[in-house]
Amino acid sequence: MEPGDEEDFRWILAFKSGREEGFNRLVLRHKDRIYGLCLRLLARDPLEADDAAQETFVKAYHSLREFRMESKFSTWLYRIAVNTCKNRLVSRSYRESRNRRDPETADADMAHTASMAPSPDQVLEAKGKREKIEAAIARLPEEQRTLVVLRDVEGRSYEEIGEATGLNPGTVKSRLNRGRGQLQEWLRGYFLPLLILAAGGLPWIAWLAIMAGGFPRGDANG
Amino acid sequence: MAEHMGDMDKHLDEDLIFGLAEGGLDAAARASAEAHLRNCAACRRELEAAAGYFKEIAGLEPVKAPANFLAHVRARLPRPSPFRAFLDVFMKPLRVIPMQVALLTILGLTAISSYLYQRGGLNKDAAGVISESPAEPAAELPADADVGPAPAAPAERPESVAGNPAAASERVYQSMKKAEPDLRATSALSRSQANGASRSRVEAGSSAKKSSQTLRHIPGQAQKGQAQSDQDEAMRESDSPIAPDRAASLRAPAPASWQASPPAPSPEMEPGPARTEQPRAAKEAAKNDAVKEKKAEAKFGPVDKIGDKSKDMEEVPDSQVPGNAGALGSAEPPAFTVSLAPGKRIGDAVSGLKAMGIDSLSARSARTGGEPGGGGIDYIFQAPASMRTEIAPYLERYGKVEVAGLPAAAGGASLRIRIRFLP
Repeated sequence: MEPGDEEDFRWILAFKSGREEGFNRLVLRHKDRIYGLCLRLLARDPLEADDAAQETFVKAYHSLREFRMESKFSTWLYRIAVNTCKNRLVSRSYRESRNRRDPETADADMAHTASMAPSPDQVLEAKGKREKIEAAIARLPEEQRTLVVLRDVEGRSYEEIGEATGLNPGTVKSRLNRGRGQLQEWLRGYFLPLLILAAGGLPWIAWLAIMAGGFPRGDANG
Repeated sequence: MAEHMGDMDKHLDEDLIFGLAEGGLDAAARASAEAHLRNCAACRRELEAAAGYFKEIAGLEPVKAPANFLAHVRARLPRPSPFRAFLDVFMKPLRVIPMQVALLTILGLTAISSYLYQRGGLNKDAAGVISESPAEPAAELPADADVGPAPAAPAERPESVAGNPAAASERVYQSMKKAEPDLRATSALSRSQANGASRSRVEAGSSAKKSSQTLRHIPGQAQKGQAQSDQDEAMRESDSPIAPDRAASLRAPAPASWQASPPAPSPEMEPGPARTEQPRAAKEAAKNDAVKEKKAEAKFGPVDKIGDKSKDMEEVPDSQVPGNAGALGSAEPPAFTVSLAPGKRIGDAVSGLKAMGIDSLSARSARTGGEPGGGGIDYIFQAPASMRTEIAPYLERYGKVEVAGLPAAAGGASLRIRIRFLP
């Protein structure tokens, strides 16, 4: 057991013995992670992410006395956060699909995600590499997005991700890699120009531009 | 990303690529993948792309939660009840001190307190504090055990109290008056014997002081109207050694064994040993006096106490004795002479008499030799007239009793009788 997990258990025991300070300590220890997870799962909506993160801790408060400490507290908290964000996405997409009155919308979740996620142009317009990666993550489908964030951003193990999402580790790996591939492809397309520049391909770009008629030519007639 | 088939002969699939880039493959799979990479440039490019992906992802900065996040969360939580808040404040020390330590401390303090309390109680008893329970041997012992073998007909018994009371009582009364000056002379010796306690000063002093408290019942309450029934009730309710219905069974002749064995010299008459006997008897008497005093106060009203025993040993003015006004200084002859049986003690007999409601006014040693029964200890008692018939049967439990006759009840209310105990 890691030292961080032992400290979590100590504060849980304090909370169970009637000390509210135990819960406060747990919130302070995990608020950034949970907020970051909610932010990325909810397509970078800060207000929604803040509300979802608070709701996650409120749910944890009401269930903490029954927590038996058979798994990590962080894993248990991640599961609450994932389910909270999933419920929000489902409810939001249900409301928007009802408002749109589009009966042909098959995957309300995917449609909402697509509508909320930044477009490829927005991704290109995003400043800095970090924003591009965040934007690309936000474009992923919900399940792949959840797995990528938990594994590649938060560094959770496959077993923990399986507990948080309810998937077995094999399924986690395959779907995770699918999301990674998608991300990689998007990022490759975004970063390719940078790579070319980094490889000293500026003359090549100039030549291509000339060939495409980008430079003005002289006129014999005047 | 180009789709890779899982067949190792073709290209590595994305699971293998990412697993290899992440370092999560087992040894066999890694060896196989590396062998393929040596011969496949495309897979090598894919592997480099995957490694680049992980590098980019790891470069993401951690996200910070908004300010006052905890406050917002607490605001959404239900507020604890005022009782719970009070409990939290009250139990605040337990936040610092673990619950287990607090419980152990409380248990330890409780055990120590109980131990000290018990020790304090034992020390209290050892100091000779008179206990509430009336330790009167006469009351506790069954009649059969104290009486001894079945009494046989006495060889000589001058008179029976129940037989001829009138003439005998008058004669006894006159003889008791004449013997009064002799008894005064022995009061100094008795006083010294009583005060020369060999035990602790606390025991001797308390016992001497308390045993000297001569009790007199204010006659008003106990002797109004139903005096007889009141006395009987007092006897039944108190630790009287003799119940009225058993008095007849005790009026049996003294056993022959008592007459056969000459009375041993009383150790109480010897200056040395008497000092140990007197304080012991005095202490027991003192205990019984205290108990009786409390019961008497409950039943008969306030009790008037007459000073120390030392003073009473010298003189008890007859004017202070109810019913004996006018008779001064004369020592009446003993109404009863008790030759103590082996193992019987004067203190026990006196205690029993007091328990019966017969007050001991004084105790004097009769050292006038040559007289019948000389060499014993005389006790002067103040007895209610209704108990005339109870005294002799009670005394017979302690030895051979010679009845000289009871004096007439002074004023019809009480008797002043002298009982001589012979060793």
